[in-house]
Amino acid sequence: MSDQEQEILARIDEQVKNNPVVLYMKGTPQMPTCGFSSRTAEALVNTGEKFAFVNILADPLIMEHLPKYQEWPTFPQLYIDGELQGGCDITLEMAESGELKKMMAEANAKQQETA
Amino acid sequence: MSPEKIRERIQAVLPDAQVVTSGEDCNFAVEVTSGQFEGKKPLQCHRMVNDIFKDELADGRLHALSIKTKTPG
Repeated sequence: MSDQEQEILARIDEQVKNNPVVLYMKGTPQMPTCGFSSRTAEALVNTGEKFAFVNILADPLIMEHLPKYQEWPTFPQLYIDGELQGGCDITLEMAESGELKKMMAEANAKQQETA
Repeated sequence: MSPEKIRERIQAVLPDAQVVTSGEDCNFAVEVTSGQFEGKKPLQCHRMVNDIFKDELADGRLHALSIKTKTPG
């Protein structure tokens, strides 16, 4: 593993652990540039819960190395409480079952307690 | 990749799988029904399907693979 790769993976790890909910996506929730990112971000916005996002198009190194972080090949990627949940399909399933809002609320509450 | 090829590749790993595909070229949606998904989390099931197309997803032959996994019955 190159130094650069290690450094990027450490940066991703920090983002995932420091944010209760973080979405890696193409574009932004306001200006998504891919249908899958768009639908995923919309599902998160609709919960009314807070979440962080990383626009991987604005950070090509993150885009290049993110698939290796949890051995997940595609974007977007949703992390809640430090754990990979999945991509667009899984997020939409979680939104439909109500689990998404619940998990986001719990993760956000947990961070406030420790802050 | 053709829908037939996608089905063959999945069934090589999950022989009992029922595979329904839609989409075209490098952008596919698959619905896979297999007993091997029983008791597994969605993330694990999707990982099993993603892994089959690991190389194609990495080099862009497949740009997007939309996955739905189900258990029979």
